[in-house]
Amino acid sequence: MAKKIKSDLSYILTANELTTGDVVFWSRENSWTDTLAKASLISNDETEAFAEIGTSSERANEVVGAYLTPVQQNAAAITPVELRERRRVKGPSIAYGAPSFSHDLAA
Amino acid sequence: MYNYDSHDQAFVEARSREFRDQVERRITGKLSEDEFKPMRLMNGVYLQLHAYMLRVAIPYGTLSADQMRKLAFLAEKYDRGYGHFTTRQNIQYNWPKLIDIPDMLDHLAEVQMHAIQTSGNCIRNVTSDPFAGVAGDEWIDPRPTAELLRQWSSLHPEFAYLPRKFKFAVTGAAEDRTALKFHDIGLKVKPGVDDNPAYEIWVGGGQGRTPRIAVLFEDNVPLSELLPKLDSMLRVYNLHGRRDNKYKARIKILVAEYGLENYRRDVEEDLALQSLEPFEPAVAEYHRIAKDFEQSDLTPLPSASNGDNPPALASWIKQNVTSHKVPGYGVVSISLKPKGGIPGDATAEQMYALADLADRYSQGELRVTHRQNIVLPSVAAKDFAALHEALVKQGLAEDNIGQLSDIIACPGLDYCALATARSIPVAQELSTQLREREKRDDLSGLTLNISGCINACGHHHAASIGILGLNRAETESYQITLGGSSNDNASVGGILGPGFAQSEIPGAIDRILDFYIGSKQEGESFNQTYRRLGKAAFREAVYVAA
Ligand code: SF4
Repeated sequence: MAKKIKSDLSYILTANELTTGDVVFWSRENSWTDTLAKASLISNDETEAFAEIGTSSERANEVVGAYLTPVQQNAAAITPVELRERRRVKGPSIAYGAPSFSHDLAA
Repeated sequence: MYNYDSHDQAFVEARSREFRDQVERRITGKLSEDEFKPMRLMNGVYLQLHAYMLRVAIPYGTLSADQMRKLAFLAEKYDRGYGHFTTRQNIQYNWPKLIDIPDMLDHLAEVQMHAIQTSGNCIRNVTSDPFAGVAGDEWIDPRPTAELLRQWSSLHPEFAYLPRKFKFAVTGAAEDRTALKFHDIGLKVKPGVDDNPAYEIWVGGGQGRTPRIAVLFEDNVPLSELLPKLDSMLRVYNLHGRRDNKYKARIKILVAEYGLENYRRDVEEDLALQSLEPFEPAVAEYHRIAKDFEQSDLTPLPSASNGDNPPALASWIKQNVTSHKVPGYGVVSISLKPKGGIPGDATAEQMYALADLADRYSQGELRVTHRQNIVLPSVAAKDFAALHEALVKQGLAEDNIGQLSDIIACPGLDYCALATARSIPVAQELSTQLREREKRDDLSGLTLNISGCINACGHHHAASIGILGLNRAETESYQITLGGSSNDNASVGGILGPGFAQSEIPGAIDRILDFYIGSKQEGESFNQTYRRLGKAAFREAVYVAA
């Protein structure tokens, strides 16, 4: 949970699912989702409460490495502020694996 | 190849059972992540940017066809149809699920493979010359020594929690194909007395944020003294290596700060206190191992005439085939660097095909190189054409071994949790550009390596042209280094100047090459030209002309 929190942004709560390793986000339905668009946007006042949700979920062995990361939101999308997080939510930018493997690439 | 015995088999099976139990306890909550993490790392399981990653050890880069088939099977069944061969001669799977990894390890154990010590602060998988045993310039086959080190270091109880990870490379040839001097300890195997090898021991090399070239610790160390000496070298490092700062914890910092002479003295003092008895079987064991590596069934063949070969085959033979110590054979390097491809990646289908080709043409044996390519070590010259044809069908016939487009690239920010920028797209764009340029200019002997962060898994410090991806204000920026080399005259590249945006890299590389081609003197290598003219001249050519 050790990420620096800046003051003027929204945040999302993210983690990796324990058994699969999949990237997940805490959703507006109060559960983990793999769809960024469904992520709950967290205001600066709410960061502690949501950090606690992440910690509890880690303790419940649902996810690992939960943390909050700052995002910007416009009508089209939620976009993490940090380069690493932008890549993490999109997946690899390259066509990898067997040619038959379908990709949903986002540069 | 080395024949694993029942002891080796029992060892990997036991470890696999142990990890299955640990995963079960983690999933059911009996182990916390803090407790589990060191255990999974000891079994090569990382949590990367998008998923878990499993790194499988390929001891000294040597694989049987059956082992390669198993790696293909794992890629197909548990990953997304591919694997990534690394600069440590290992393979990484980028998408396994934690719940599947115990099954993957069971499959690996069936072919005596495992993921032990591919992570964590321990002695990592020992790397070696991919041309070991077949190279024309070899003094002594380094594989028996590498196998001896594998046995000595596997689960060595004293060295399971070193201050930091520890990497060995072993070579026995005139040309260094292992980047020996960039290892914590590098061993050069040479002829000794009474049919026993002797060793040059190099210590304190490494890359990362403080790149260092290894220094000579001792020459002519007899086989009988090798393991006790290494034991003491590791013990002194274990004692004095810094545990307070992970950036200063590698042995290269100890050697640099404590001083080679002090380190050497401490090692000798430690050695004097140790009983040598536990090491006595090592010489006999070395010779037992060495027997497995003797290639008795390669009979010399008349060399095939390549005069009438079609141009594509002739070019591939010229570029990708190296002379073999047995007449009539060649050492065939198979490039995993197709134009626009991902360096080191191979699909399951390609891995199955490589296994079959190894069975058909190379005595069922393959090697992985630290430049992320595959080698078929012993191919009869009469089979070159058929092998080439089969490789063309698999998209594996790129004739660029040793060319500039034979780019090393780490996974970078497309996969790696530690990355500061992507490496792969940069490599893909440059390989396309350089394949064209190689048709015009002679760029053999130059190397281009790319790392996605300062940890330097992509060996950028050790290339003629190195590229390091950085994060500048949440934007990817690429720093260029020039003049590095990983061969016997190892050198660390120097930073050229301010970083470039990804879109500026192709132009910058072109200007570097233009300047080199225009300025080089007859017979001069890139690094020689760079040293003669100096960084300022290159800098002016690259930045002023921009
Ligand atoms: S160099 Fe950095 S980005 Fe590349 S694989 Fe190593 S740790 Fe990851």
